Amino acid sequence: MGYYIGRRLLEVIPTLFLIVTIVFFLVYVVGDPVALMLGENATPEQITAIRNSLGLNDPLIVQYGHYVVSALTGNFGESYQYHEPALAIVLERLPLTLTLALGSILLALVIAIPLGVWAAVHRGGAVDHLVSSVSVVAKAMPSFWLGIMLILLFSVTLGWLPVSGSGTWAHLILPVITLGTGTAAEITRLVRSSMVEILGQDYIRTAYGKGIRNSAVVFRHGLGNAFIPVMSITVLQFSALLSGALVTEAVFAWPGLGQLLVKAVTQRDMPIVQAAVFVVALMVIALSILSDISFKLVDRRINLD
Amino acid sequence: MTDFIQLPRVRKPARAKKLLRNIPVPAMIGLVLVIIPALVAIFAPWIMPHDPTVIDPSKALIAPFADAAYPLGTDNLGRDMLSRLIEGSRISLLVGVLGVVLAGSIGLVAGLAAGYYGGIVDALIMRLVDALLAIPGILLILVILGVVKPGLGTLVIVLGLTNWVIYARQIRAEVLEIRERLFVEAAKNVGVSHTRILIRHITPNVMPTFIVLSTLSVATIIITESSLSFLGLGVQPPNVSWGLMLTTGRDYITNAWWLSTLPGLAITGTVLGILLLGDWLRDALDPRLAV
Amino acid sequence: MMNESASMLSIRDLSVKASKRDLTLVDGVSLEIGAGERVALVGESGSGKSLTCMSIIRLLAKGLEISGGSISWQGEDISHASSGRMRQLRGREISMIYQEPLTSLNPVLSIGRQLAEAATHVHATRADVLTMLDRVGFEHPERVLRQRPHELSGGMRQRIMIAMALLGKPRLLLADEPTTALDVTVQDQVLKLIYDITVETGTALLLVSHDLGVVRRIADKVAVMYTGRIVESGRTENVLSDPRHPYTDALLRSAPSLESKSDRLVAIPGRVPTPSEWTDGCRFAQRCEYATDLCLTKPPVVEFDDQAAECWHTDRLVAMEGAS
Repeated sequence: MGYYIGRRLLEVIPTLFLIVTIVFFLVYVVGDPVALMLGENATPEQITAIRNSLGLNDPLIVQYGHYVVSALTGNFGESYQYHEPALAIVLERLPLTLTLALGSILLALVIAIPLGVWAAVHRGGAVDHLVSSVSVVAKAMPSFWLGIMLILLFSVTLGWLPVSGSGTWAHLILPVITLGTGTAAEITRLVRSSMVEILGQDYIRTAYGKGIRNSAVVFRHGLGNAFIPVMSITVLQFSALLSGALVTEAVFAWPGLGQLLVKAVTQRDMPIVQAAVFVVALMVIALSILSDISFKLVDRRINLD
Repeated sequence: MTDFIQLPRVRKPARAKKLLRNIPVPAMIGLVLVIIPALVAIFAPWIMPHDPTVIDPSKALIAPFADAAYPLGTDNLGRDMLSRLIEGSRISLLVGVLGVVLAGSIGLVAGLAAGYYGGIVDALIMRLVDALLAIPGILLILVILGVVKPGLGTLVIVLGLTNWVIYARQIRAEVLEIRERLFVEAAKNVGVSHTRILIRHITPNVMPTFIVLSTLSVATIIITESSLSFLGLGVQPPNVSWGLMLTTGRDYITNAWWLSTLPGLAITGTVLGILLLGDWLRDALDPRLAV
Repeated sequence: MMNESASMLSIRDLSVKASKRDLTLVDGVSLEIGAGERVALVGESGSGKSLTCMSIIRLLAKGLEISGGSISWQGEDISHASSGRMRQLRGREISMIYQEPLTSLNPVLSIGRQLAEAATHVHATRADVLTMLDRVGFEHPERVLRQRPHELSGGMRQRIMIAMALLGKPRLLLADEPTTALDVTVQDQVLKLIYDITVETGTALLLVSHDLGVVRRIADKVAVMYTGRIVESGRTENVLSDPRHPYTDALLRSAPSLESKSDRLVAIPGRVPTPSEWTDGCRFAQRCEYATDLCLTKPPVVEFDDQAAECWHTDRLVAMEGAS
């Protein structure tokens, strides 16, 4: 097991380096960091001075080296807007976004698992068709538009929930529904197709043949075997969720990482943008490693008991 | 030099006839939902009642169906909603198609190369793909947009550069599978050049997957574009985009519901149509179902 | 076709259809099984024998349904009983074991868990389970409980299935090709186990098989199925040594493991018609050497001593008997 973890970590390193390189390339080669920092009305002297102090006149390789070291030590510089270390600001806003993401996944699972199981058990029935139709429409709807429509209905027309901001449970509801819907649709589809395949297996027939309750067959035998693919896709969805969070936060003025990032991009606050990219990329990679390890564990229990 | 070995190609003509004979309901709906914006986009100059960018504060915030001259109402600056929706369709579809062309071309080449040549080429390309995939979608785009100026051209390039990975992965897998099949071995043994094999034998067999992926990508790109425009980082004024219209819609949500509802419906309808068509295409082009 | 007195299970004119494609897969099958009797249902794949067996406890896959006839269990019509009633019967009065012991057991759950499930349903205790495991041949029953299906060999898995099926002391055991997927050396052992244990407990047995050798060893009575119909049935010795239906005769002659009438291995000419090709007349006619125009209509059931065949020309076979 130790070998496996070690190997996975090693595999990750080239990927991380590649990400660092890509970002470096974009910021330093494609963009002009100085112009970004100073805006468009800088004088030539200002530009030269900054360039020297930032070491931008050094050979590209040297710059790259410095950059890699800085990135690895978490030093992304100071935010141009807030004049504080970028990483700190990013980490401060992260929890709010994570709350949103976790809430959405939970909501999605709570909805998707029962729905997917029902659709599979009653395959071809009215519920099944309804679920597929709704899923397709949910995929076609931009999530931010769903959010806006929800606001229109629940906040503006009905007045039940606040329009935007954060701070109370009520503020969390609409954003979580908005973000979770797309994920719910994906997971429902997967649960359904996994269950359909599982329910066609011989051991399900044996279980029915033993005379045990239908619910025991479907849940103990059926869903139990669907655990791995479902968890696997849930982890993958996390990445998509973070993307979605960016937009959702804009709709609801949710003060998380997404809002921070969008503002930073608009203002060309590169330190924050870079810090955010790394934090998110690291999270996604860490999550995928953790899930791989946990599957290996579950697998081992099955194989080596 | 002509092939003196007749190697099997994808049997398209026969399939096409069978296809058109029984099109299921969802696909028909999809077709309609896609054709409407497509036609609207093509015939836009002729059917647009007003100039979508003309500002007229005196005509601001007219509700739909209230005024015959503005059947779908106007926005906060007095611009006709119908015309803006029509103009938006042109931009959205344009970005969608161009983006897919770009992503598809890069992805196809990358996937073919990785799958066919294997070895270092494969390793390098796949590492790149993995790295790009590790950064969640919009995030990567945001980084790029942080350094370049937003605009239509930039948008297309950015979308293309981030979506090619999906193609590359899928096509590489297909190529690996096809490569295993005997007939490619046969061709190689006879001495047909690599390029020739790639172009004449492998590519046609990869086409069905490519087409299905492309329809899905158009949908993804349209949604991504609208998201970016919504955030202010995509299509810039005075250009019109449905996503951009939604930004205004969000601001006026309390008193002008049509500003946000209509553009959203347009996006959802178009994308839904594409997805339905894509599902149908996927089933229709599935080689396992070929007779 | 068979003697109807004292039967526990009575299948009358059973038909099973694939509803979507409107294909009949079991076409008017009748069968009787008395208490403690061992009956074999024999046929090639596609003959409908497995489906007939599954219909009894209503384990038909989605898309298949009983379209006609009836199944009675101890006088009660179970072909139209509620699913609740079926669940009561399964495991407790009628149990089933299947062909593929590996895929028929849940790979993720331990043997103990799966046996416990069955035990709870039939009100058996842990001691009962261990006793049963011992009876089916496990030296260390406790150890087996903790293992998972893939850790056991095919023969062992089938023993588990037998144990699981007999925990509730059912009066009828349905066995769908229980030894087909096993090694030849193990087949014998498992068959012997099934025979011994059903005799011991007085459990009736319906054995579905394509192997005439197995049938000869285990079954008192046999019914031969072809294209969804029973073409011949009767006491095993009678049918297997004195077939009255050309198909049975051809089967016997093409099976090298039995004492065959000729020394040559004779393959039956032609092929088995698919369900969509089934006619109303005799379906074996195209391949039969005795076929005549009469065979275009459904043959009558001709009865003999402890034997019956559905054929226009049973006399030809009897005549051949006389001649040789």
